[in-house]
Amino acid sequence: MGSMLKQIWLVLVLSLIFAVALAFVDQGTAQRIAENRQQQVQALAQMAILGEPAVGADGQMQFKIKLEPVAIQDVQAAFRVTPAEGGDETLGYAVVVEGIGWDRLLILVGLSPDLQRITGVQIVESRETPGLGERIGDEAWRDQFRKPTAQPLELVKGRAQSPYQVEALTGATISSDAVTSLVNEATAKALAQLK
Amino acid sequence: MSEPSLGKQFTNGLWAENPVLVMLIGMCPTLAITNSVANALTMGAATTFVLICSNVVISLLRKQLQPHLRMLVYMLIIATFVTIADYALQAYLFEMSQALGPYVPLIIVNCIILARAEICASKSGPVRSFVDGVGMGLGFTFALTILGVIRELLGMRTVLSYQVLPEAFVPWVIMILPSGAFLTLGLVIGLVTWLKTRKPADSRQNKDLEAAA
Repeated sequence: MGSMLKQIWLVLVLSLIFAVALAFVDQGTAQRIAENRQQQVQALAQMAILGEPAVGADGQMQFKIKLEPVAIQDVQAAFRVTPAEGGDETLGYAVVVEGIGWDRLLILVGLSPDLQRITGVQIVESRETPGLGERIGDEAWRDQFRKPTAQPLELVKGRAQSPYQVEALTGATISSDAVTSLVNEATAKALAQLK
Repeated sequence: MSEPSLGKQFTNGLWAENPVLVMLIGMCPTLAITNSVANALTMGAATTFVLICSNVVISLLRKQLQPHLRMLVYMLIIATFVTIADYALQAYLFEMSQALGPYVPLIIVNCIILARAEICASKSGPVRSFVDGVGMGLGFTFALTILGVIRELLGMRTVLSYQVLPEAFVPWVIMILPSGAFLTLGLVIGLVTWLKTRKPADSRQNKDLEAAA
């Protein structure tokens, strides 16, 4: 026992010192990290509901909306969106869902106050292939999702024939499919649980 | 065996024993995150910070290290500094930390850091270890930046998101894909090896010496 302690004392002492040091680092940064994540979701929600970016001309974040959490089961997060300057008017709902494309994929779906329309789809986190699957971030492609919620959306290769069809990105069918099913999932859960 | 001068220890990492271009270690982040210059610089800075800190701490502890426990102690020290770097990036450079994804925590297993701990820090004083960390860190950053500039320029027409090539230039998408990383790395390593081996053959003096021998 004595000789073992003699050998491992350095490991024990270092672990203790480093654990305390990291606890301080965590305490110092945790709030800022949480704020960064919150701001990111808030900015994306504003874009999805109002179609207006939250970054002003001076590069500072300026929000026109507030997020108020609402309970929807089995989604990452869901919010009721209200005006930032006050008032209780519902501008829409923002639902964050998680799934898998080529890797973890997190998207935010904006819905109109009556849940009858998808107002916008934003990518919160994705590691899709640069140049291919990454194009799910292109605004022109994501604008296709601004459709009524009466029917689930269907992904098609080539031209869309009906109002509930979404055109897949060439060379990125798996990523397009992942986004489409996540949008359907978010819409279905919001419709079922928010009414 | 006499130790090289501190200046030499510094330039060693930059050029003579550049970790990426000469020693060919630390390839994983080199291939994965050099698709833009901003990524390359952030990764280089984070790795340099970890390298300097771990080198100095290991050097200070070198006399207490038990031979069979030294790897454990290295990993403990490296992991602590990587976690600090990761939290700092998430707090102060949030978008950058999102772009680098898992590659910041993965600095823990970057073998440049472990190699310098074993080769230099566990045998030298803190000043030399510090200088070695700075040199190796800058050498790593330098290599990543070269790859980043080439790949971002040809793949997206930009350098640090500032457009350099005209609209008429069609971006080579392959350059920002993984295959572009392998192609660029291969060509750059080839160029560096050529530059390094060319010198002795060119100098008259060497040839004269060979002839005399």
